[in-house]
Amino acid sequence: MPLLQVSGVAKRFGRVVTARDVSFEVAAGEALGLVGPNGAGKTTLLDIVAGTQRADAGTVVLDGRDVTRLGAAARADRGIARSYQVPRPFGGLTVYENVLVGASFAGRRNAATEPARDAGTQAWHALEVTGMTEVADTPSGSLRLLDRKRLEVARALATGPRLLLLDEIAGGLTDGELPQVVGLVRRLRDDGVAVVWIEHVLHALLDVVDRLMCLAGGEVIAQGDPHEVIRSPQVVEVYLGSTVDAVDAGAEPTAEPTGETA
Amino acid sequence: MDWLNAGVQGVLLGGQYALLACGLSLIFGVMRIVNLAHGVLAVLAAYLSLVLVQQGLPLWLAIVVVVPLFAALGYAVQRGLFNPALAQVGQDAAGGARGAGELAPLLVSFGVAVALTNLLQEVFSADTRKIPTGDLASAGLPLGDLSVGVLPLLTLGVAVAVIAAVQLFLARTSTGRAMRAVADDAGAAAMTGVDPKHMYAVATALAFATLGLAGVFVGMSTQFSPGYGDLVLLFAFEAVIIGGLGSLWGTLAGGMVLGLAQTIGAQIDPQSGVLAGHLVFLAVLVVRPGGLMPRSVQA
Repeated sequence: MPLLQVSGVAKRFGRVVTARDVSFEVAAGEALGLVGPNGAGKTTLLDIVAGTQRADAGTVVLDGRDVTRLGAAARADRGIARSYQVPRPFGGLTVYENVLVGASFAGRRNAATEPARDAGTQAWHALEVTGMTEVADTPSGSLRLLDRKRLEVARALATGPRLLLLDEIAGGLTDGELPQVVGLVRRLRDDGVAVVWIEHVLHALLDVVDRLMCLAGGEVIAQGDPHEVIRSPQVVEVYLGSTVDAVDAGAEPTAEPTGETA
Repeated sequence: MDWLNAGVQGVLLGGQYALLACGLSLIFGVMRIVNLAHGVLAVLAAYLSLVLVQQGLPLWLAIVVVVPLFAALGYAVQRGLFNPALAQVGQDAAGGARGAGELAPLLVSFGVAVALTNLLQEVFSADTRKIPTGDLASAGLPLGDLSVGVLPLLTLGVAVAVIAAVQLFLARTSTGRAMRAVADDAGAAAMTGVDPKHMYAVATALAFATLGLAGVFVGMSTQFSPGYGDLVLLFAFEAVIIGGLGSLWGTLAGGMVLGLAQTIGAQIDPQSGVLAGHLVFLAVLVVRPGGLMPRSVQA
């Protein structure tokens, strides 16, 4: 049985359709990449899985249990964590306190959390994994971008997730910073956390994910082996343009989308 | 000597204002809700404890009853009235964690204030009352040539203790941290397993508990009537604004500034004490619109 089963999900805002009959699965410990042009509905899909937005139709099943009607906090308690594209630290709290909130609430109730660990240990572990122990006492509002992105992952990790939803954590980082984040995601995947990762920095994504899914206009237009998906004609047409060779060589798609909100 | 006396009385009066303002400050700091029913709720607490004392309960026992009762009331009011009015609590709407729903709870609290004031008038009439405290109300301690009232001193002590306790709670407990997290970003907090609706209700319960306590102290020291809540709200609001919205230590300082302005103003001209308080409030707004110690709810 897959860890996550999304079936027939639909969502529209007024006349704009951001999800149209979207179905996909994620196995335990699997990393799924999510790509598509601006406004394809990638972040909306993450919101629907995380419970921060309700779908108009369709179901979200986690580990065999229908969680469609549960809110975000209740889903976090069942093992879903996420990072935001634009980091959203609790600015009035220190880095350690940020992570401690995750460890004390969802982390305490999560089946995936080792019961022997108290919240403080769990929080510190999340800081160690993400390499943030040195800034533990820093007010999170004053962090630089790389550390903000790391904090997003650390706070999510502290909840002891079985499914981690990542929204463009590589965007905006320098070439020197990128490998650290990619290594972090790979390590989490290797530790058995399933990952759904939205990313425009394709070569970073392809380094880690087991499968790739491409969305366009709220519909799944391709999913499967990452290298087959980026070569499929529809994906090339709607998303990559004519730069597939360049992508394989490590470059990014021509229409580099930034500041996407859909 | 008169000026020194005015200063001492001002600080003591400030203690009462700070105690009254603590709950208002907390609710604003966590939820950005201005609770216009704050004043009349304090008066409700005064009436409740008056009724209990008239039934023969000792005053301390009346406080023990009223404070948890008010906490429960706060939880219920938040879940039943304020949360539904706050649009999309904990949802990632396009506008971010907090929607445009900050006016709606203000209007709801206004409705509560009006209805409750009228209800109190129906039940207790518009006559002024005071909670009987025996010798406590008139007891004084000699301090040099001055006499310091025991009740105002006790009120000041309780105000400092309550504000310190709430600060400690926010800084050191996991629920306090979650409350600060929700104040910063309710949507992101939900993703860590913190239910914003519940956490808001816990914050309001805590605020109402301090408000219930403050109301009893008002009832002991002041002649009150159902309409007295307007004045309570006004002074509490001024204390919060002067101190800086959402900062509890700032609220304590704001209460002191307001109390001092009123007693020193009265020393200059006995008719102008309250006016002097309003003028200082206005001056702070002009010079430092964010208040003296502006912050969101923080440790």
